[in-house]
Order: sequence, then C-alpha cells, then structure tokens
Amino acid sequence: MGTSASSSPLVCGEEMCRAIIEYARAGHPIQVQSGATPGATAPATLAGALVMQNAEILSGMVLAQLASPNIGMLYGSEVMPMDMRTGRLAAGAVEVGILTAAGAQVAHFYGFPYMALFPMTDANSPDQQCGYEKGIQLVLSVLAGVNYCVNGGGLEDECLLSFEQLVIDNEMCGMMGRLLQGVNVDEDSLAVDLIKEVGPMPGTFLNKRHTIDFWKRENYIPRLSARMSHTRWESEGSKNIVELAREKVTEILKTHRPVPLAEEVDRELNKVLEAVAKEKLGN
Amino acid sequence: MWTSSGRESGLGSRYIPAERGAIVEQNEILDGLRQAVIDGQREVVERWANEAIQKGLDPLLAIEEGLRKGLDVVGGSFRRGEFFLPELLMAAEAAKAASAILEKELERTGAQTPASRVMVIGTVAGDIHDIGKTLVAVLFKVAGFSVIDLGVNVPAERFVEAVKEYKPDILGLSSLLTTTAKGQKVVIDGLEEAGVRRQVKVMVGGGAITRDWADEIGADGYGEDAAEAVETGEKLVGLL
Repeated sequence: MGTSASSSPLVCGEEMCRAIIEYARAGHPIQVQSGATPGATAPATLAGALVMQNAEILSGMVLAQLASPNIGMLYGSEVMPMDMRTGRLAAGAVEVGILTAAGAQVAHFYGFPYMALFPMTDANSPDQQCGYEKGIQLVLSVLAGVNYCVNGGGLEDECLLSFEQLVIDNEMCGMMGRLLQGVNVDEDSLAVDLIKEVGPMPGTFLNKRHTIDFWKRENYIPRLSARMSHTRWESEGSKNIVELAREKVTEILKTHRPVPLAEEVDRELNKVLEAVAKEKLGN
Repeated sequence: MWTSSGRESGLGSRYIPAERGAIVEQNEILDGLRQAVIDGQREVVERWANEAIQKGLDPLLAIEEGLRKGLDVVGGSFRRGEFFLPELLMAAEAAKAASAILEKELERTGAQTPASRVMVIGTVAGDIHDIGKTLVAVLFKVAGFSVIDLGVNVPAERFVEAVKEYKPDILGLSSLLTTTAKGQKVVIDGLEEAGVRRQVKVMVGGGAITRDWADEIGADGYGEDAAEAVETGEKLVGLL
C-alpha cells in the first residue's frame, strides 16, 4: 500500500502528488493522510481540525481517482493537538482519542476504511500514565471502528520504542479483540433453560457442560496481566507488569525464529534495490 | 516647571519633559504601548507608536519602556503558566509591528537604533517543518533578540550567506526529521569553509535532534525545547 501525507494547512505538496500518481498507476491502493496539529497547523477546535483534514484528504483522493479510477484508498489521520504550555504535541491526550474516533466516523460516512496511529502516550516510561493514556485512546479507536493502525510499543510521543511496552500493547489488543466480540446473544448463550435447571442457591454453574463449553470463548485469557493474591504475588517476587513484560521480551528474543523471506523473493528485491540505486546514484 | 532629569519619575535620563502635562501624556503613551503588547493587539500598538512619534516622544524610550517592558510582562506570565504560546506570538507580532514604526523614526532623526543581539534561524534543506523553529524565534524575540527567520527548506549556502550578511550572534538550525538532520552538519562545515565559523554561535534543535548529536557535529548549543533554547542562547552570548 502506498502512503502519502498532506502538509497542513491545506497543501498537497509536489512529492505527495507525484507519489499518489505513481502508486495509482502501478495499481497500489493508497493511504491518504493528514497530520495536522490543532492550534498550530489546524484550528484549535476539534471540529475545525476535522473539516480541514477532510479537505486535505479528499483532495489527495480525487487526484488518486483521476490517475486511476476506482483505485483502492484508505482515509488516514495522525492528528495531535499542540500543548500551548510548551509547544509539544500532546500525543497521549484524550483529544487524540476523540479525533481518532471522529475521523473514523467521517471516513466511514464516505465509505472509506480509516487508518490512525496506534494509541500513544506522553509518558516516558511504561507506567500508569502510559497505561491510562493508551488504554483510553484504544477503547475509543476500537469502538469507533478504526480499521487499520500502526506502531505499537511507543513511548514519549512515539520518540521512544520499548519492547516491554510492545508486549503490553499486545495484551491490550487481546482485550480489545474480546471487546469487539461484545455480548453474543442466542439460545445457548441466553441459557434460560440452564438457569431454570440450576435453580436458586445453592445451585451452581461450575460443574455444568455449558460452562465447560463456553467459558473459554466468553473470556479473554490474559497472556501477561497478573491475577493473584497479594501473598502469592509477594512470594513470586512482587513483579509489576513491566517486569513481567521484560521476562516475556527476553523469552521471545531467545526463542523466536522469524520466518525468512523466500530466497527468490529476497533475490528479486535486491535486484530492484540495485536498479534504483544505479538510476538515482549512478553506481 | 519640571526640571528634574526624569530620574525621579523612574523613566531614566533620556527624556527630559518640559512640563508636568508632558509627563502625564508620556506615561499614558508608554502605558498604552505596554498594555497593547501584553494584549497582543497589533493595530492598537501601532496607533500608540504613531501617537508617540507625533507627540515627540523619544522612540528609544518608547521601544524600551513601552514595547520591551510589555514583552517582559508577557514572558513572565508565560513562565508562570498564565499566558500560553498564542498570547506570546501575538504579543511578539504586535511589538514587532510597533518596533518597525519606531525604528523608522529613529533612522529619520539620525538617532542610534538600539543595539540588540541578533539571531538568524531556519529549518535546514529538505525539511519543511516550521512550528518549532517559529516558536523558538518568537521566544528569542520576546527575550530581546532581533531575529531574522530564513524560513524552511533553507539551503546550506543561504545560511552561510546570512551569517556573512547579518553577522548574527546566534545561528539556529532546526530539523524535525532524522533524514534531514545531517543538513545541520553541512551548514557547520560550510561555515568552517567560508572562514566564518568562529564569528557565530551555532545552536541546533528539533524533534530529531539530541544533545549527543549537537556535540558530535560541533554545535555550540542545544535546547530540548524552545524555552531551554532561549536559556542556552542567552548563556552563549553572555547574557546569563
């Protein structure tokens, strides 16, 4: 998929336009993105930022369609407001979550899938601030139906990469997968007959086939989040989630064998790179 | 008759009023200039500047007691978290507009324009990001520097030319992208080749830049953010 991004405010630069045309003619679906900064390169109001971003993205999309009618497109945004106390981009702000959700709604209104950045944080370590900032943005993204997002594991406005955080982000994604399934409603899950069968206290569901059949499907089993008594927790070394994540990282790095590219594909890619290098650098 | 040197009124010795009425009028104009800067109202401050010229007020006094004092108040409010970047920018723009009017008057009368530290700033070649650079420029202006902003995507040769032309105390180079950061080194090397490296303090900054990088390429200073940049800059030119 080809990516392209506007220069806010209101400019689809030459490079962006050329890239869109090249991708479209080569038959690649194209991601058209806006990365405006409310308060600086976009209005400080969220609504104004959405209006401006929409204009920029739609312009790029019109160009793509002119270059190649019906080429696939993705509506994308990476909008972070400016914190006016310092000039920094407020990556972990709840406003980012709101804009992401709103952006998804606008994209879907036009019938496009929507791309956003993976939930971000301003925190400098994988701490509670990181947890709540990413968690809040994540739930908003998921409920709004964001179709595609990039870059887990980031800290400090995506200026730092943390393997521990990547593993923790993966856990959050697992929880979100369960969230997306919602409440399954059918004869079996309503379990009316079972409820009548079990009857009032001291009736139990623990030893029923229904429970065996359904509890695993209905519950996300955390890969990392700890659930235990305080005494047990202390006896196991009082480890917090970051330490648990670190152990997981070590294990993965030690044991995981990535699947390499097929040899022919690797060779072909090298040929392409060499050809481009020769054309651009002359050697 | 008012005969004091003006020091009693705390206005400094440059303006010697002929009569009490003139003092009151002068204070009114200076207050007007100061407040309009604080409020970030460019048209109002320009009117006060023209009023100052009409009433024969010393333009230097107007700049220092009116505009400069206004910017000092704004800077203090910003540091205390009462004012934010937009207020800062509007105040700086208002002060700049009035400054232009008053400095023209100074030139016309052949008086000396106030000496201030000079900074040339820009975003390096291949990079069009300008917000950080613009913020740094504003904060340096508020701190009393005269700032020449070369804009974005500035070729290295242009930076070198600007150092020769404006003879700045500080040259600021901004880069947001890791792919354009080496442009900062290209400029520093260009200054060496042109034999003007020692004439200026070079500061680098931007999202892609770290203190280590600044040291590696031989920059004189680095700021994590705009506020730190100003503090570093003031230290470099001996103001702190």
